[in-house]
Amino acid sequence: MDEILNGLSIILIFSGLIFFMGASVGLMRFPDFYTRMHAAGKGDTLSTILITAGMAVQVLSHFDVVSLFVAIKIIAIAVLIMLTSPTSTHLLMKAGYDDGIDPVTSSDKDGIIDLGGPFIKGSQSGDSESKVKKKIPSKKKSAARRNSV
Amino acid sequence: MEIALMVAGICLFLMMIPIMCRIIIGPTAIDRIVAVNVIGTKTAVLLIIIGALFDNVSMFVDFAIAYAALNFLGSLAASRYFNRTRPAYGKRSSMEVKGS
Amino acid sequence: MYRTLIFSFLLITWIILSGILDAFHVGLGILSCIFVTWLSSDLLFSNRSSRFGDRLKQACRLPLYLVWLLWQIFLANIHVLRISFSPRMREQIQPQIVRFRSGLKSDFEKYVLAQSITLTPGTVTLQINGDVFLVHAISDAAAKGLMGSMADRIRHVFSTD
Repeated sequence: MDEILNGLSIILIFSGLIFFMGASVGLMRFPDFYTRMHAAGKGDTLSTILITAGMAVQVLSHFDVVSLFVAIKIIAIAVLIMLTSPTSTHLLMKAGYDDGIDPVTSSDKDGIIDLGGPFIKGSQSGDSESKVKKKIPSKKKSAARRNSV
Repeated sequence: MEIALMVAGICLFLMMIPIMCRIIIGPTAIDRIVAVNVIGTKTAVLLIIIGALFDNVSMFVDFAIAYAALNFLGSLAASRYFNRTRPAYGKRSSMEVKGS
Repeated sequence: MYRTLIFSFLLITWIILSGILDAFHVGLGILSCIFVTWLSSDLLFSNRSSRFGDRLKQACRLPLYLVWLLWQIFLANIHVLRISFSPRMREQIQPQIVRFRSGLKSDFEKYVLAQSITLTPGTVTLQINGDVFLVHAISDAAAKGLMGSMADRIRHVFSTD
């Protein structure tokens, strides 16, 4: 039983290390700020979850009340990081976007692309004016894009 | 088991070195904050591994919780600061894009 | 009703974090939890008009969604790993900024959607402007997949019927 738990924890820890290697190499190699953010935000979360899960299994391998509490605390770290890491990624990315860091875009994908989206009828009547205001600049941009092409 | 944990800790430390390079060469300030954030998250994990190596996980896990929470607060405060006060590149023309 | 919920939530957190189960420490925990609940109980659960059965249904549906989200995180990491180790990276990525409307109303739903967008393969939330999500996608396929089933899943999780 002990060997199985130890092997499971080693597998979890080293798969977490592989994903962290992906994040670290991606943080070094990606071309611009936004794509680096992809590597940081994703690789960080999963590798932390995997390594902490491995350590929790490791702690639980000799079972008593104290180790149960310690394992719950380690899982609490994983949950905390899973909740906060995307939030900080989003906030840092928003700060960079507001500062006007230029994204590296592929040649035909300049500007903002509108995908539209589902419109819930009847519930958003007060929102229509702001909707119109928001839609206008994007149309201008897409028209300019078409002209340039 | 001890050897596996030791190897895992050393690998974790070695993989922080490219991120350190990103802190040094990062062209914008926010790049550096991201790298510091990643290193901080991994330090919380490394603290648990160190605790397991010293056979004292119940003490080190508290440090790790505090470190993870403070790391999140630190990156949040830094992002707010750089959002309000100064552009990361020093370009003034970018201010009119704001809010679009 | 909500106050007892918040109080029990805080007390469970106290017991997990302290780990000592004698009468003195648990008594201290109960006192401080009562104090915090009295001081700031209106910060959690902003919409109190919904009935308790609806809350229970949402709480039952949320773990299923979390399991799906964990699988998506795994796929996203495979994606990042494959891109960051490929020798010709610049041909595989087509970074672009994409905007769409989600149709979600409450703040917590938007929070969950933004979190899920950040954790699914190839997309990161850039800005939330009212109902409009501004998303940075790393490739064409990721931008296409954005309008898929995610917002519908979240609407299903938080629907009241």
